[in-house]
Amino acid sequence: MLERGKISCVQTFYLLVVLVSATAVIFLPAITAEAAGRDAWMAPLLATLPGIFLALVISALGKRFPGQTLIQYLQAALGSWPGRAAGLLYLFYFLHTNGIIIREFGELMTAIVLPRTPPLVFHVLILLLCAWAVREGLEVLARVVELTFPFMIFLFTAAILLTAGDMKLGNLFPVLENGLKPIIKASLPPIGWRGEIILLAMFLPYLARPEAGGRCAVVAVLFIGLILTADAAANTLVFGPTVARLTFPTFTLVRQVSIANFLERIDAVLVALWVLGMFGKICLFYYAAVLGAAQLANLRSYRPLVLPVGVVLAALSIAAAENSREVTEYIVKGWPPFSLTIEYIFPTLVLAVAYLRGVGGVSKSPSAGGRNPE
Amino acid sequence: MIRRFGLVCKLLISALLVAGAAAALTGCWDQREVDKIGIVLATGIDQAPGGRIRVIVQNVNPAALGLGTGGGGGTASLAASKPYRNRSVEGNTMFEAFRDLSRQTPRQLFFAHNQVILISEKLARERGVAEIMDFLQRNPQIRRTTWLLVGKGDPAVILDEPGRLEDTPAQRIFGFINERRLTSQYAARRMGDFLELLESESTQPFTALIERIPNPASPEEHKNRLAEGQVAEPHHTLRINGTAVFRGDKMTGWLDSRESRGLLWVRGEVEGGVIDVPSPDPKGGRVSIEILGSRTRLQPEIRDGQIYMTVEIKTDGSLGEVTGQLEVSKPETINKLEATMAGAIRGEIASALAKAQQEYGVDVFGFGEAVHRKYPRQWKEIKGIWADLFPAVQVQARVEVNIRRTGMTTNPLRPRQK
Repeated sequence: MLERGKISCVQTFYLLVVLVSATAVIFLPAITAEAAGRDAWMAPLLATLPGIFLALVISALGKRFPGQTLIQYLQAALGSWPGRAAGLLYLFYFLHTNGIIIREFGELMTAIVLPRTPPLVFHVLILLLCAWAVREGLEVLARVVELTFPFMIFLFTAAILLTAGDMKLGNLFPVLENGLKPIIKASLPPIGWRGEIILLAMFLPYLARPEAGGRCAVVAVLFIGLILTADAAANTLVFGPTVARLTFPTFTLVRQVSIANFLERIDAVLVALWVLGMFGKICLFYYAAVLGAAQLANLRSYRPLVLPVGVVLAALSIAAAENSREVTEYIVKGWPPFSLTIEYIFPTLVLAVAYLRGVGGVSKSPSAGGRNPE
Repeated sequence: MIRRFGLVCKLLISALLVAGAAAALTGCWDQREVDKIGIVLATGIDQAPGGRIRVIVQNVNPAALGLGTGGGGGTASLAASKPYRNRSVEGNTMFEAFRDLSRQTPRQLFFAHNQVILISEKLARERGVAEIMDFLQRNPQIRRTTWLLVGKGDPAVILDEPGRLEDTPAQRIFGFINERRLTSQYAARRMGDFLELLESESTQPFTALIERIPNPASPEEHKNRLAEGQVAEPHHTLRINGTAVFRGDKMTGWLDSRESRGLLWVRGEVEGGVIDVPSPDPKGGRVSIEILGSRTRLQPEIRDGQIYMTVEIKTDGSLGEVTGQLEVSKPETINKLEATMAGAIRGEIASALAKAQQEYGVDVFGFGEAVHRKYPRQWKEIKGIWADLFPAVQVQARVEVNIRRTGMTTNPLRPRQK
């Protein structure tokens, strides 16, 4: 086994929530408002349904191929070479998406906090930190996230509640003015975002009770839906449909907080909270890439890959886009078709193929990485 | 031996890491020390000839803040103890102008504590405010919670009229607005709210207007007070006077104090203030009632192609002053007063409606949004011509007043001797 740690169901829940919410909380409200206007809050709500479906697919795959990660059972389900090719595709997805995530992190830090610091400094610093966490393994990573999760939720909730004074209920009405179509269109990016839980397929075997993984994932998806809907609703309640023009709506929202001219300028707190979340998210994608690469190459340990992959990620994060607008444009237009295919359609197909070919099942001997106990 | 070597290596690496962290954690790129930045408290924006923009910034002088004003001894020390400095510069855009100021300020300007943005009436009327709003919204240092006001005359004049209680004119103006609920006679907007109004489909922007007036507390015979060894009252003073209303991004008119409160009643933003009504006592006198807050509901209705708007207002009051011989102790009197006050409120609303509907034709009340919410389908057809429909909206105000308290006395004072 490449990974000897074990994580609990609750830790899985924390990991998945942080995985999706860290970036979505900041960038999603503007993206959904652009398509759906004041109905933006419905898009993340709608995206919960495909999310639950995906959680069930991952869980079914995990039951069919116990003890194996996505990269491993791709080969079992599709045959050796097609499976390896598909594995490479997933590696590309992990690396490429992480490049964009790291870029988003740098964009926001330079735009809001430290404008004259080169973004690469942020990229390298967070990658170094993540490289350390990834080297230590999944269990350590899960514990770090477990430790910081209550702070994140508390601060996020407090930030939303403190803006309550600026909320105008009228901003939400009329509901469904332009029908359902814009909302469905607006829900595509959140569906892609929610689909990032496909990473669960990379660490499902390392749960203490993998068979319960599906349930934890469904609960996580529901909770993410709650967070993102509350976030989108709060932004619309405060800014109205003009959210669409804001680069980082949730930050602008928190800057708005002014309780009795005393409790204000709490955006620095949100930055701190967000860095914690981004750490978790980048680590998980990083971990998936490193583990997947090691399993694809039948390595005995993934540790030698950590630093090289980190260098690749740093390069990808810079190459991802020329400027901040390109990042957003790509997330809205380029990324959804790609991510929806990789995250939803492909795993469903794999499950169907495995079912039709009758491969997988409890009796099947573990393959690939499982064959090399250290 | 090898173990020793390993230990030394570990120690060396740790030492290097600590040193590296110590060097890096100071945040070398974006450090801004407090004594190196010029904190801006107020920003004035005016138009300049040739389509250019003039900006005035008010810097705080931290060295003078602790000293307190006054203190005898020549103009030089007076200048040193002036707690602020104003600087003015012109440019093609706001950003260019602000940056150009660095040629005359020793410190980099820092806008995160800017409390007031003052737009000159001239710029608001002739050029419009849209072009200056972009910079204010794009710049991360400028906060949407900053108050945005229209200033009559040169902003540099308004921004150089310090009070005695606050150190800078910026804090003085900020102080006025903080106490807005004491009168509710002007509708000041924060920049973020103003931006939302600018982008609204139907509601037109508005914000409070500030002006500099001769100080009635500085009589003519006190002109040479300083020579007598006394500190004179300043010859001018600042006050907020009503509300500037916009059509699109251009200021198109002005509501006086009474009309402004009419606007606030309809928008449900009256939080306090004094309303003065004739006494119900047949022998005359006046009654001033303190407003204790209000709630408003707008109920639009479209009937036979005509738009009706019912404005339902609930408000509480407390007796503040009674002149004449009103029998306050009788409950019927309170009922009568409540009816009179309701009438006065309807009068304030009517005056605001007359100006906004007939004279300027601008929907500052949010009627369009109320129609939009209730009739989303019809709204699609009428939103294009809302500006034409708005003046014809039939408005009915229903006011419910509750006078809760009568103050420390019941019936007014009655002198016994003739």
